[in-house]
Amino acid sequence: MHTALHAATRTLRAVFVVWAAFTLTFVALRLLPGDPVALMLSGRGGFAELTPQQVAQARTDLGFDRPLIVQYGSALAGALHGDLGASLQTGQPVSRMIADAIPPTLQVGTLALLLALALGTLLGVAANLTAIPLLRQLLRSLPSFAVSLPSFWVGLVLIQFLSFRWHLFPSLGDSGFDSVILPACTMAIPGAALVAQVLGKSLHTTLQEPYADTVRATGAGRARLLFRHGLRNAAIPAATVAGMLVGSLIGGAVVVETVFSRPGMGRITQSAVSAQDLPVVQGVVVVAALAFAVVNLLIDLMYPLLDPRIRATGRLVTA
Amino acid sequence: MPTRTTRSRRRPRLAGALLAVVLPVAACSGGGGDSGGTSDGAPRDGGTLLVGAEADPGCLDPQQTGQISAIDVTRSVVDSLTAQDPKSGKIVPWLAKSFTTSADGSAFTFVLRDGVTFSDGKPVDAAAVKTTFDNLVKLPANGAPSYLIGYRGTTVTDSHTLTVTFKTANAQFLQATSTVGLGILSPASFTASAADRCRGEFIGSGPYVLDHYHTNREAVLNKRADYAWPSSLAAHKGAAHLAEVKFTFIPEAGARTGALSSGQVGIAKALQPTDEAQFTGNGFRVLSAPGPGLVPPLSLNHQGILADQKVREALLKGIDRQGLVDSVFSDSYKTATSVLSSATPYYEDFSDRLRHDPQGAKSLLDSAGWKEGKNGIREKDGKPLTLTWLIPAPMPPANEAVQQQLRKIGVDLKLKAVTPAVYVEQQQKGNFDLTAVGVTRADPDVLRNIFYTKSANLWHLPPSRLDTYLEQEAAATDAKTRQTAVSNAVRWILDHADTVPLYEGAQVHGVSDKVRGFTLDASNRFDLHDTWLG
Repeated sequence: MHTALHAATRTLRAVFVVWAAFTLTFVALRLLPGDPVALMLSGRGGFAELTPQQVAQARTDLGFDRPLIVQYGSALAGALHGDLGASLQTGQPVSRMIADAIPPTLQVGTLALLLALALGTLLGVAANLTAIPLLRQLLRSLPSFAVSLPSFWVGLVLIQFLSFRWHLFPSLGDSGFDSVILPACTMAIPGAALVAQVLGKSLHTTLQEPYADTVRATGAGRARLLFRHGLRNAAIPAATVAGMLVGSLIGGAVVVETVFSRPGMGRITQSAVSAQDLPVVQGVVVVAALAFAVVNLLIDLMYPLLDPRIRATGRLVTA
Repeated sequence: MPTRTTRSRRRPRLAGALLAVVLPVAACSGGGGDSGGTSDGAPRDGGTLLVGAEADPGCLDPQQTGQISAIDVTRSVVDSLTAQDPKSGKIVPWLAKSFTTSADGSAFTFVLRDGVTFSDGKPVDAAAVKTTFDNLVKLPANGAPSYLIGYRGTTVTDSHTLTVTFKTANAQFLQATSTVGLGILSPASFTASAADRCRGEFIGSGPYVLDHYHTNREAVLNKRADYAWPSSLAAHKGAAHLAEVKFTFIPEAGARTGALSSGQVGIAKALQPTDEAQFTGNGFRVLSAPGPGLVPPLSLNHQGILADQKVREALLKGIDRQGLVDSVFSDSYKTATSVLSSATPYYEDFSDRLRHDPQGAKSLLDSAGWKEGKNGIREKDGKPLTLTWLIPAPMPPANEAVQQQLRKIGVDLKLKAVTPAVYVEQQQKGNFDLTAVGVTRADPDVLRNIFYTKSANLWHLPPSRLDTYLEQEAAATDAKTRQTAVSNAVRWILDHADTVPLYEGAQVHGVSDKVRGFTLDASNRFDLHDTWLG
């Protein structure tokens, strides 16, 4: 009963998040200065013959002269049916552009997420496992260092050495698994650092709790305490962070896809934002919000499995 | 086709248009582009040429986009009625084996050559030409469609003969027929929607066929084995040598140069001036040519402070063009010597009017009432001499150099970099003192696009005798009359300081020595028909 209610409220919340993202983006894009329609006309190799009348005509053709609330209503109705409109810049249906862009971004994103989780967990655990103070200090400060590395720079350094100099990986394109590795590593670094930070800290806290003393009293070693008991208890904050990482993937994709010349959500986002291509930006935001909401919903629903205390009450009781 | 460029050669798409301008250009003496590796040995057939392209054009349809990044791809897919010799600027036969202009300059008759087919097997005949032009005029009149302003229609006389008629004389039309924008498409192309044509669903008669175009990834061309109708400029008459050409879109300049030096591509487009040195000798070469058309200038809004001709003249004299080129560019770039670049037909050297003269600039400002004020910025009636330069982001380094130069004569230049959408809006509203709009086209009619007060006139020029000169240029039916009109127009523009020419842009590519016979056409676009891999 409780579980069902829990699932229902969480689902409603996810739907709300997506709707709010849609609405806020719609409003924000219309408040921006600039004239995307004039840009569209002139961006096609344009010439001085572009008159205000032509721009006005194009605006009417595209429906931008209707009252905002009417535009909002028709955009929302369209979105509910999976119709996200057409790009101002190319005339392509936005849903098709996004459908084409998702797979390459998903490849890199998935690998990056796995790498981030694996590396982050490894680092977070290692920082708590070692008994050498100096090493522990080093392992603890590594994440904050890694988080401060700009992805753009990391990507260029990786390309410079692993691709241009040593020819180990291709520097560009999406030709098979080889070409996914460098972008995924670049994208994984900030995520891994975040996971390591959160997991390391929460492991540290968990190991201070009274039950840890009990376990120690049974004669269990540091490793046994950590792996059998501590990790399970520390996993919830880490899972939450993993959910947030999914949301940051699109941002990471903008940088990584530009540096590694890959197609994907990041590239269409970047060009749509600079051209103020309203339907495309709107579509990207909605899809990103949807992905974020679904992943977080899944993680929410997973908490009870990770922690029996949530199963009983439907909410997390932290000490 | 005319492309406006904004100074940074990185984003032709956005910058394109009415925007700012940069210049794509090619350099080599006299324009065209010489390939450096052309004459070594007999051409070999086969192989794949990999090109690192600077941007995904977003749209490939030659009728709908004038961007360099698109035309470099489509020039090999779509043939035109005529071609333009990069060295002389002359219009020569291509799909049309002959062409004549009516005495009043308003009608053009073309006779097509025999045996030419589109890649869908349909013949390139007079009806196909008519269909191409009839569809082109339906598009918004900027870019290629603007070449057909005043289009009355195309009359098909027989399957190989047609006449294109305009309401008035149209001197620029013949050159326009050599551009890819007026390239001839198979009638089947027009059954696809405009958006699908953008994605590559158009059919031409060129030496290559578009295999596929994947957004933000690549555009791939395949050789057409039965091709046998290159323009009269081509080195060989048969099919292209390369089996395949793959344009990969690599937006990051450092990744592009790295891809070239590590052998991952054979040509890296749009080299940064700072990267050129690493590609001279050592198995590479730099291919560059000055861009024909209007040089990237300071375009002056003739409202506000710059309504005063003396202030405009002071800007003209206050620029040290040689210093600008030396400090910000490479050897591939030249100083401006006219409003038109030296690679433009009907160009004439006006460098005597473009001398750096800081003293002259200062006394002009003095006499205009702008006296030295605090911090060296001039003032008049308590107001500082501050001018706003509207720039589409990202800002190119040359702008800061110009800012520093004008600071020396007491002008405070505010650099205002904005997003492209804001740029277009502000430009249309006239919210700027300066901006930079150049146009790439191998025809002096670019002057009319920018300076004619009866077109958009973004600079708020007052009507003057300049309009008459530009009308004479557009209506000229012989080269001598046209030259006189063009020279009069340029002289008028410089005498009234209606614009401040800065430098000649260049399209600069890094090329591996394995790539032979690679040239640029008169508009500085890729010509891959004679290219082969050694």
